[in-house]
Formats: sequence, structure tokens, C-alpha cells
Amino acid sequence: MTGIRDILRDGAGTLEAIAFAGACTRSGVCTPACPEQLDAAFLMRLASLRVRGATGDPPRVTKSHDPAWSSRVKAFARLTMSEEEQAKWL
Amino acid sequence: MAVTADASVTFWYGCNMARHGEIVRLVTHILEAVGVAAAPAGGPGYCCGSTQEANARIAAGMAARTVEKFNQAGRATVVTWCPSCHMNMDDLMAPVTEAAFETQHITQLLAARADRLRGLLTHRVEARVLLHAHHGFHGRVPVNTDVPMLLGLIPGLTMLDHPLRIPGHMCSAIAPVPGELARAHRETLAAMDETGADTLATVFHSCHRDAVALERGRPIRVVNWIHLLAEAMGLPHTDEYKLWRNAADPRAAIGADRIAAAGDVVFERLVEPELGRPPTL
Repeated sequence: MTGIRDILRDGAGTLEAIAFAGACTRSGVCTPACPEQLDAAFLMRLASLRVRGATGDPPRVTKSHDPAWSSRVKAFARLTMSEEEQAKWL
Repeated sequence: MAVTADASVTFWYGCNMARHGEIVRLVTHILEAVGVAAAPAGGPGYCCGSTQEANARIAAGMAARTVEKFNQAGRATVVTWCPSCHMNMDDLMAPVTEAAFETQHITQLLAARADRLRGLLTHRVEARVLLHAHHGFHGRVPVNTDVPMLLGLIPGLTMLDHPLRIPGHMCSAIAPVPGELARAHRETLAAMDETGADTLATVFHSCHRDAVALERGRPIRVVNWIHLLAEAMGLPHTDEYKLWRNAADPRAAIGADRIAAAGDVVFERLVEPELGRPPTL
């Protein structure tokens, strides 16, 4: 956890900590396991955002991003919702 | 049902639920039946910011806009569906942009009205059901106990216990990890075998849209928990996404007129590749 703490304090973090933060899938099992009773899952979430460059630093890990996400959601909506529903629900 | 009733709550269904219009409709029906008039809201215009997580400035702007829209709607409660949206609202959105509403997950709301719901579940559903349960989110909202409790109210339905908990808060969280989603599906099928389950009940949309392909070539049924409640209430519905995803020819299953209405190019580029994906195994 030393490396994760370093990332959260704007440090470089260790390679292991960067990989750990980048691979977090948000299972949340770390919070009940934390001996200090910290919200470890939230800290991991912040560390994961940091290593992906969310706060403006160069990304230290990459995560696939769907650039067509918005268009894809709307395309499916056109198939599954009526025009009235789209107008009111989207 | 009116598209937007005189609503007392907003049903924030998220963005990717646009693939499952029937679930949005059914949830609205079910809420109305237990005395909660809900106005659905979702899609990119109500983003929680999770799709733009790599850029906090953009994500924060989208999140703030969404909170402001909910504030303007003036409803005291926003009922969530998506675990990402729910956690983002709690952790990142409401702490930054003052929210004039409380947030409650759909499972919490229905669990609190279980007595009222019980009387509406009048149709038998003969099914041996395994819950598609993840580790994540349950620590925040007890979905892995509330959903089985609600489904256990359905006459004829047997909820089965199994210790399997899939990593992540829903399948989209493990999809980028090589091999993890396939492993989750293999372990799920093994758990169904062990328990004698004939039905897999998904909780969330991102799990549902991949797990439905597990039906191919197997004598099992993959449904969302809302589909089971709707069936027990006698609410007619079709899981079109499953129908399309498992069709030999999704174009034929959808029909030329609907594709033309959605836009041929849009369909070909944005929808067809997803529906044509083989099962993740």
C-alpha cells in the first residue's frame, strides 16, 4: 500500500502500485479487509483515476475508451425506445 | 402507461440501459404498481462522468450538468439502476455539486416495499434461479441479498445459493482484463450445474448484455431480475436485445423498417458489430 499512498500524494508510485491501481475492477473487498478501517475501495478508485491521467498528469496506464459511446447509446435507443420515449427519457 | 407520469421520483437508468428499453418500461410499471410514480431519465445527457474518467475536468462537467438537471426536475428522490452511476453520485457528483435530492438504488426501494410487491406477484414462474452476483457494489447496497429476497417472493420460483461472487461491480469492469470475463462465465455455468439451476438472473445491464449469449446451445435461460418480477406480475415484455444478440441474423430479427428508422449506417457501424459478437467463453 506504500506505493498506492504515494500515488494519492501526487508521487510517482511504484510500478507494482501503478499496475495494481490500473487493474482495479472495483470489487470493493479491500474496504472490509482494511485493518485501519479506511474506505480502501474509494482510495483505490482515486488512485486508479490518478494513474490514468485524469487529473492532467501523463497517463501511467491506459484503459480502452469507446469514442463512439454516446452515438452507440443513441443508436440503441432508436431501436428500443419509441420517439416519444426518446424525447422524454434521454 | 404514460411516457412520463406525474412523477414523484426520477428513475435514473444510466446510459447503456438504452439497449434495454423494455427494462426501463418494466421498472417504471413496477414502481407505479408499488405506489411510486417515476419519470425515467438517462442516456448521454444524464452522464455520471464514468465514460470520461480519463479526464477529470470533462467528467466533472458532465456530472455537474446531470446533478443540475435533477435539481431542476424538483423531485426529492433519484432512483438509480447502474452501480457506476450510483457510486459516482455518492462519491464524486453530490459532494461537488450540491444535490437537492436523495439517491436510492432501485433494489433498496423495492425491498422497502416488498410487502406491497408480494401481492402483485400472482403468476407462477417455475424456475430454479442462480443470481449473477458480483463482489462489488454489494458493500454499498446489499443487492446480493435484496434481489434474491425479492425474487423469492415469486410463487414457483426457487432461489439457489452458491458462494460464487464475480470480481468487479459489474461485468464491464472485468471485461478489459484479459480472460476475466470468460472465466466469470465459465464459473457461472459451473455454478449453475452444481446447483441444478435452469435460469441465470442478472442484476445489471452490462452483465446481461454479455451473459445472454450463454443461452446459445444450452438448456438455460438468462434473464434480468426485472424480467422475472414482470413475468410474475403478468406484464408482457420481450427481451429484444437477447433476441437480437442470439439471432443467426440480427438484421432479420430486428427488421428492415426498424433499422431504416434508426439509420442504416448507424446500425452497421455502431450496433451490428456488438450484436454479432460471439459469446465470451
